[in-house]
Amino acid sequence: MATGTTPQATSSAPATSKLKQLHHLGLAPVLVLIVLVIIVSAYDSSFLRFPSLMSLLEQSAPLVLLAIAQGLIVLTGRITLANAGLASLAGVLLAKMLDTMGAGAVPAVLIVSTLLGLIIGIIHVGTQLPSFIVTLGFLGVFAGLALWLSGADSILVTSGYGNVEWISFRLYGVPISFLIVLLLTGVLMAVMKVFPLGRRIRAVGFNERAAAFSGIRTTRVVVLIFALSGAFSGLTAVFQVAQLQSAGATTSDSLLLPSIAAVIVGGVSISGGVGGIGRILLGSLVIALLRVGLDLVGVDSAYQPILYGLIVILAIAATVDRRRGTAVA
Amino acid sequence: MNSAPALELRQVSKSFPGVRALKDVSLEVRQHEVVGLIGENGAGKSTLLKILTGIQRPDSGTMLAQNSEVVLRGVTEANRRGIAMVFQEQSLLENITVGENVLLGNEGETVQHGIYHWSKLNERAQEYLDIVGGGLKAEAPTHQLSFAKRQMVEVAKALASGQRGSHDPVILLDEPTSVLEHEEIQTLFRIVRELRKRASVVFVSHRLEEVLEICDRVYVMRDGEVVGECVPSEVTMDEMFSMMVGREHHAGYYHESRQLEARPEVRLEVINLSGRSFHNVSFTIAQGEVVSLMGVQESGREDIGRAIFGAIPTTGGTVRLDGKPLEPRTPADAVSKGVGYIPSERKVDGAVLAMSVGENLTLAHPDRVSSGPFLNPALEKKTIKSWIETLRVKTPSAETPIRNLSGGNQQKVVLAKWLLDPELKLLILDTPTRGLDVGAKADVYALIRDLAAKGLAVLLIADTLEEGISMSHRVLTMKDGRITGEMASTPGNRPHRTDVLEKMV
Repeated sequence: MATGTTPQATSSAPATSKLKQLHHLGLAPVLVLIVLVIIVSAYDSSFLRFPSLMSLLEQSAPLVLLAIAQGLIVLTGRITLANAGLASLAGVLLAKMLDTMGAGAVPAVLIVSTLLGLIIGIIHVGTQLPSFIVTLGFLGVFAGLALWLSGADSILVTSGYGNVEWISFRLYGVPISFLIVLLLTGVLMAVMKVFPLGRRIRAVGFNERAAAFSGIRTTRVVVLIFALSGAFSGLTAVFQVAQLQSAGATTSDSLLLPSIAAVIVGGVSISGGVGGIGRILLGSLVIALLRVGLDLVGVDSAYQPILYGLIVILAIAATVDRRRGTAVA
Repeated sequence: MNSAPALELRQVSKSFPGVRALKDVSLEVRQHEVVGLIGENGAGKSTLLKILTGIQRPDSGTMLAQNSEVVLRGVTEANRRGIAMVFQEQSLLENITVGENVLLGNEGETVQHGIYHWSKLNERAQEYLDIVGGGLKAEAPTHQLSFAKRQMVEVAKALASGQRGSHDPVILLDEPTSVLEHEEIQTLFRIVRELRKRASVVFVSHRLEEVLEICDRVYVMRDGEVVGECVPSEVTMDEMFSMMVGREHHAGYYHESRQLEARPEVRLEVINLSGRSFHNVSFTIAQGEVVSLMGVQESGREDIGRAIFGAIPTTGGTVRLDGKPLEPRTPADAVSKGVGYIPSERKVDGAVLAMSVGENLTLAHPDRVSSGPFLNPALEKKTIKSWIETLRVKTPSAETPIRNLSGGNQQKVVLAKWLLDPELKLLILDTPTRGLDVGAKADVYALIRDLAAKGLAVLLIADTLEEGISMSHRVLTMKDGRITGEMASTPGNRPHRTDVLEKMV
């Protein structure tokens, strides 16, 4: 029935399958999301009840943030392997600073994360090394720093916890964390639409040379995006500390693959240009739901990365060769 | 000609969704004949070539080789029938030798049990290379060859692939001259004449002069149909032109009557500018003046354009625009000071192909469609619409991806991108009509005249001698990175081709 309600795509080639059209419109992840909800709720009917839905949203909040940190960079035709490592490091910093600095620790950590993102961006643009290489290097740097600062031990937040605890509260049963995520994605979507920046990012992602020849300061755009990505990695850490009341050197590391999977499943092209914040949000929800589903079915979370890895490969394989159309925010 | 045609098409039609690409096309290629295929972009030349090489199959109609019907299912099968194509985009592998490239996929007995017999391979490849000439050696590494030499290797390769048939091969040349310099084109023509002794040649081009010079017979295509067949010695260029475009070729192809006198005010001053490939270059362009920079490919002329636009670094000298220093460190600097640049590689550097016509139009100057820092969708829509109308861009809508437009219409959008800026002072055009068909070229020329009339300074790096001479107020010739001459050029008093050429080589 779903296909019957598909809006008429402006397709010049009728030969493309219905699924492809859905994909071009950015609606494929919606379909996947619906199918997943049906499967999971068929397996466990209590899933559709309000509390379990809300806890899904709560769990998905850090993933959405880290996926945005990834997706912004993927939009420019690059990739970051350092976003999760940066989040882990920021988490350790925050956990250590909350008890001593109090509320000021949150903006301090966000600023540090932004600066670290900025540094990655400047090095990437300055040395003209592939983002893959630079961020792979920083993945190691951040992991080492986090281990060193944490003493390879989990840090429990005590007196300062009140400063971030509110993020894990609920407003009329709705997790505040997810409300903030919705607000942030809304703001980002508006920024992309209202300012020329959004299309500059896409132009860089599609064709950096043509963008530069059109007078776009491409290096500035890229560095800015890396800084923004750093900020969102830092924010991921804040949310995780709020949820766990502690931080370890590898707390966010397991989110690296899911964050890439979320971006790709959402319909952001790995080669850049196609996609937007809305798609990243959708993709994150799909991955979060998948995690819940796997937990329900009884797949040990330790084995779940096998699936994320396969999803990344399959999703890219299924989408990489498509014609790059005009994207949806 | 008593023998059967090497290749014959009868009533061939081919449709794509929404487009009738070929309509009842019938033509024949006789033995040892150079057949020209000419038409504007979109006339159906490429589709025809794809059918001839088996990349696509016709919806209806038949194809005959040596009087027997053939159905080609791919390039390999076409090769077996003696049909081989030299592609417009080069297809040589850089990291193997010339000889390997010539026999690639067609190694035959030179590979036994998966092992190369180098001496045999080089010997056989050399036979083909010698036919083509140019002193090419089978043992040479491919990556060291110039573009023109590589094309010669491509011809040898096509000859080798086509040699598999029992008859003399048919070699298809798809726009072989589009990226060659003048002297290189002459070399290519010599090769084509050589090929003619042992093969039939189909020469596809949109340049009339070339087709008239090299072909024995010419088919003119328009809108998917063969609209004429003629022998070059019996027709004039104008007759062929009107067949091609379906209208009269008015003498004002370059709109020379619209060339106004340049104003006295100097707009661009370039003083002793030096860079990687040019040295101590000085010239000026006045308001309303078109100056063309003429030189062979390695003369440094493209780099001067790029340096003034801030896309490549300079090592010395000054550039002033309206008396104020321009010396841009990045293209963005130049753009903010009123400079626009059309790169020669339209599809790679000029347009963001995946973005819409509208987005490409506003890419360089989003501030012109913004209120304060915010994009103003209503204003943007209106601006885009008015430019599409002014320049008569043929596009289904402003939201259509620019890749779906024809080359000429793409170029109009790329030009309009700069015209959006009312304070545009200087436009640098690097071969702006390369790859465009005749009608689209005339449109671009008209636009250049209009812009000059409005006081813009235009630096034109021309695609052909005629274009550079006919479009400009002044011609600057370059050789080895230095300016070698300057000639005034007014309607009725244009510099001679040979005089210009003399200073270039």
